[in-house]
Amino acid sequence: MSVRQLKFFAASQKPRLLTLLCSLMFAVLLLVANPSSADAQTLYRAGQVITMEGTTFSPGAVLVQDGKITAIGDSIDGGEATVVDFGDQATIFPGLIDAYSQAGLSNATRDEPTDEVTPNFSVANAIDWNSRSLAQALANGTTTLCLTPGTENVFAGRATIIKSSAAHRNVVQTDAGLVANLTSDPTRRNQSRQRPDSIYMRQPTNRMGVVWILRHNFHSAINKPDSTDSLNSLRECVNGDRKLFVVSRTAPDLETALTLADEFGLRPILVGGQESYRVLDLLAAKQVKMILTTVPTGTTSGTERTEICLNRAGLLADAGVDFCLSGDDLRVEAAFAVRHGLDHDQALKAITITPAQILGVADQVGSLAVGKNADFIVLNGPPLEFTTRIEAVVVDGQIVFGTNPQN
Amino acid sequence: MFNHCNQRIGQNRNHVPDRCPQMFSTFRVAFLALAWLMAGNHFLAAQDIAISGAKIIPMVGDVIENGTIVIRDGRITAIGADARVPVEARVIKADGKVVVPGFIDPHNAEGMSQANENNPNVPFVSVLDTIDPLRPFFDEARRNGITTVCVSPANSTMIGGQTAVIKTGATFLDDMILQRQTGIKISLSPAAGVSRMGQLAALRKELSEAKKIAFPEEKTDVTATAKPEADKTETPENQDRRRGRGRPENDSPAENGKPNPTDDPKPDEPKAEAKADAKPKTETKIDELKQPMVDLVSGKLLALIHCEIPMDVDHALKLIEDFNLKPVLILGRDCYKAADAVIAAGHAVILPEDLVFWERDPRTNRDAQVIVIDPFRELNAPIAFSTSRSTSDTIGQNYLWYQAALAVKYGLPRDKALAGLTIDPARMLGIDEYVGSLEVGKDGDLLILSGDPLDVNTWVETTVINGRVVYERSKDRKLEILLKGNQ
Repeated sequence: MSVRQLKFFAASQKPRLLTLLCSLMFAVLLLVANPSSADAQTLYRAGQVITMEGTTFSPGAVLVQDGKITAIGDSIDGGEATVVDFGDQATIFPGLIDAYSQAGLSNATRDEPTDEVTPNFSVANAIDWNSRSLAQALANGTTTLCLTPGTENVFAGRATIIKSSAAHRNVVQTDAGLVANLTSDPTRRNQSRQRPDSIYMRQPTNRMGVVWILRHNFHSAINKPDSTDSLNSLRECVNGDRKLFVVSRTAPDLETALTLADEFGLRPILVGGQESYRVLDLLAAKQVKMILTTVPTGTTSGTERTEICLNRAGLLADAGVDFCLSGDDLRVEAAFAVRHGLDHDQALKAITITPAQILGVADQVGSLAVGKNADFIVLNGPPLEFTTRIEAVVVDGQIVFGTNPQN
Repeated sequence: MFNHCNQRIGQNRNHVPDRCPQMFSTFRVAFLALAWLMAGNHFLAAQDIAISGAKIIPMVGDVIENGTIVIRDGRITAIGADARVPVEARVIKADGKVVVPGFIDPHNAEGMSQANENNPNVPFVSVLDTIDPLRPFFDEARRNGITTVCVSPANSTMIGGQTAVIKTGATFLDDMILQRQTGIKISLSPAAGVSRMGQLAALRKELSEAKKIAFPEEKTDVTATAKPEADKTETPENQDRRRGRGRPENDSPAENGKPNPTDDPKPDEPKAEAKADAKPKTETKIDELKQPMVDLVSGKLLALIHCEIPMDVDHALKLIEDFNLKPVLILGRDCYKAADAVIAAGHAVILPEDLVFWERDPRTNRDAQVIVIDPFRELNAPIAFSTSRSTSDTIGQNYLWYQAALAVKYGLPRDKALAGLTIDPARMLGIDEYVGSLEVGKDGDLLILSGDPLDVNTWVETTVINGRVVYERSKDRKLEILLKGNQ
């Protein structure tokens, strides 16, 4: 079409040929560079498309417009859509979701040392979009991240759900929930230890204090309706209007978290869960949702020196607890979970649709379906093999990592 | 050395000879039972075993589907689709399983009670004096298929001491040793308070001194003066000094569980010296403390050189050339930038534990993913992997097989990755005569895997060292606790 147009212009309006040619080329360039702009559609093809909606197409294709999936299936007639074919050996798999991450947050933005109760602080104001950790997450196929403040405050602040692609700065949910830490971490910096003359900057200085501060503040939030603004977020948690993440690793901490949840009618998402294998029945009975953090590499891990239980995920699955996996490389986390005893399909869910459900964003991300965000990774083999590499990462319909095979 | 028939009766204290059933008597059985009981923990003589029905990946030669492998007296005596199984051999059915050579870790300090010596110049120390066979490392090695490990001092000491190659499957060190002196660990990354130029100068000085001792009239005729030296060190005594007991005996007369006197380093060394005294070679008598460095520059010991950064590689290559060293390069992760030089020189390489990492440009602050394997794919020399327990990001870096899988992920051909677990480290350490592949005459070190070596669900089912089963997953109570938690 464009060639014919060119010929036509060349014949009739020779003087302006150069200008026209330039503008035409520019338009073509724009289309190529930005395939999902406005009306343009892109058809991504691969040997296999695993939707995580229960179906796998082989071969498969995903049609994308405006960053959303408009069609998905074995063979789609894309019409005039730009076709990007990753080849028969490639597998398209939903973008991975890390439900608990500190990527993009520098150390200085994770923890507030002057106060142990900072529920109104939000990580949304402290994201470094160009940080290495976000680029790393993207390279590992993690397209959606729930960024959370650190573990050194009892009420640490608010989480934010983002896409990892720095180019788009796409914030999925600015206020994704309140993060509380029922661990030993908040006591870490407050003990005098070497300096008996030092003035405690803040509480708590032991774990009893951590629990007391949690209980005291929830109590105030409920019983003093016109108390300070900072307790509003706690009140919203109690009313069920706001998600509450509680980081707990040891069995006693997990038990205490659930006791507090009962006391104040909370429905916390438990994060960490290193010793969850010791309280399986309780977790199952309370139907809690959990975000399991990475399997430790040494013999013990974390502040509390929790012991290793490699098949934590498998045991939780067997007990019927709803959980997802978290970590820097989610495919490796899931692969080791499978190796240690978790069912393969459950492991795939635990890094895609389950974290999306736990975060409450499953209508947008977590699987490949019409209407959802076009976030996916392109793999050269089965998703959970150690030898499988990520060829490309697509966020909101655009290739943001790896190479476009058509270029 | 491959003549097993003549040695078997003398050495194998366990089994009944298959060719003479008439000798089978009650008395003999009782005697054998008594011998077995008395041997206790020291009892390491191998049983005859045969593994059948497995897919065998021998690493040298073609893959054998549904193959059988026979190990007698700790050595492989037959391998193939139709290998004959001796009647008295314990047969391990491995249908549907995969058999590979035991993995070799070419550089690891985890078996040592302390990884580094504070004194920067200790070529005379040996890792053998600090290996603790009961460290969890060995337990985990057997669980993860590492049958042979070159225990080396870590990277903080300039001349860190002598490395040794040991097998991982015994309770006492003497039963583990494959090679007492393999090489000398040299580190080009300076210790705290030392500059790089200072480190290099000191290193050159030590090497030059050793060279002067080894080749006193070097300028005029290197080969002529080298010759008596080589003769001296290659006497059978010296060969024995370097060989351990951790592999099946062949022609050395170790009987009835008594260690071969020449195998023991402590009684051995004075003896070697006495011998040197007896023959009045006053000129070539060398200080015991200097001997290892002399062996290094005469090419009898390997130089295991740690290069932390790319510039170290350049210095290492110069040292190798100037002092005619037989090197293995232990590379830090930044050394991928020196890959061209390494490839041109064609030296064996141990890759860093971080096979992929992120690098920040100091000027532009731009982050980029670095795949360390990439430039080394062209290397036409042995490549091996290393693991890390302390600095790893994922649990994967604890495992040698994971590193190989990661290498395949980032484009190293599969065969080369498998070789990097087995035959390549054996070749770089000069122990490929004994281990690293499944061939007749080599040590009976193998793994029975539940599936493909690099598959996510593959486990080591059985580890065999010198024909002895040293690990069985079905009996691994510790793994059970690790998986289920200490409930």
